Amino acid sequence: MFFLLLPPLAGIFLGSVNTARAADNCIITSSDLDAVTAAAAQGLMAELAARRALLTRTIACAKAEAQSLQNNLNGLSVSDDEKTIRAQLSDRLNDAMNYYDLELEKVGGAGITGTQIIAKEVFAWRGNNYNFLAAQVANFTLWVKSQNLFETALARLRSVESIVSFLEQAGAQNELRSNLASAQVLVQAARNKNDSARNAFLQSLPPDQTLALIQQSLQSLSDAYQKFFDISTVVQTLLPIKP
Amino acid sequence: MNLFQILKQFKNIEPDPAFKETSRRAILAYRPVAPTTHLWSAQRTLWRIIETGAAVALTGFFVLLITGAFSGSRFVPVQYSAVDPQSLHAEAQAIDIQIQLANVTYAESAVESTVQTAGGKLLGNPKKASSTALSAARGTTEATSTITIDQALQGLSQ
Repeated sequence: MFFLLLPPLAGIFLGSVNTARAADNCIITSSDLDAVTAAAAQGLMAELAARRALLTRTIACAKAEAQSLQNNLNGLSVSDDEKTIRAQLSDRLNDAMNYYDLELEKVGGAGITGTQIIAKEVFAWRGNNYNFLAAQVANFTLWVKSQNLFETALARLRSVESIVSFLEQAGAQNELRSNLASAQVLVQAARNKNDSARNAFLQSLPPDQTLALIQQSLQSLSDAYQKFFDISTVVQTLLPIKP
Repeated sequence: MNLFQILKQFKNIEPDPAFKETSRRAILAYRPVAPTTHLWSAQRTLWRIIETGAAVALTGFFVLLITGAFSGSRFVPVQYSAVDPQSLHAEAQAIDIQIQLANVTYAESAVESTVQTAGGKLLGNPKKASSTALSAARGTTEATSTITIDQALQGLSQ
């Protein structure tokens, strides 16, 4: 009985070792595909071995990619509100890694047609699921790392408001007031878009929509700084002292 | 008479009998101070409450002052460094970098979509031989020898 169990156990063990080794080299080149073509010319067994090896390596690399994304995601310092979003994304990455494990188990017993079907399935699954998830994780990372910019811009706006109010005590400053009003609108618009991006993550909206909101929020913030520069120029002409 | 004899005579010194009698009466007639009245106690308590309150308020004020809670107040001098072009430039540059990163993320998504579309075309033609499909997958990356995971899967599916 024990001897009957040995081959499958050995297969599982060797399979995990091979998978780990396969993930060691995740730079896949066109010459790897050339090797499969060359093996096909040597016979079916050689082609099958080459296909299994490259498919195992490719799926193992896909899993390593998901693991790397999850490590980066968990390394982000986020507020309590954002931990929910991060946990959702991390769970979905776990699902992806489980899927890759299931597909890897199939490769060992597959023939040439089987490896082609597995490759087709994994390719389609990535197109429908994983690539969107990876894009959303990249968006979330970008969004988290942008949050300090919004806090800095708000603090900057408050300081500029106090300067304009002080200068207006000496007389009306129409240009300053106009630029300040524009900056206030732009900072508020940026914050609104930023909140919309947060909600987009919570609602799992498509990554391109989330990214568009992030881009719009950052663009509004950049425009607000242009107004700050305009205010700076006016203040320097009004005051003889260097700010 | 030497000094020692003079000091001995000091023992015989006595007060004037009339002064002694007056002093005794004054001492016997002394009445202890009346116990504290309620009104006086209330005043003192009120005063101590005011003292404690003022001390707490003053401490709180200094704590807020140190922690910068009045940074937006009109009582704090205006900080002209807020319109310093150099610091403004540094912050604006940080935003521009994030915008560029967002555009890079967008470009990567666009590339992935292109690869998926190309894959769809290849998979849609089952008559193509394996070698042709592999060459086609390879052909999309002629500029660089490295291929993506999707491209490898695309090639292996044929």
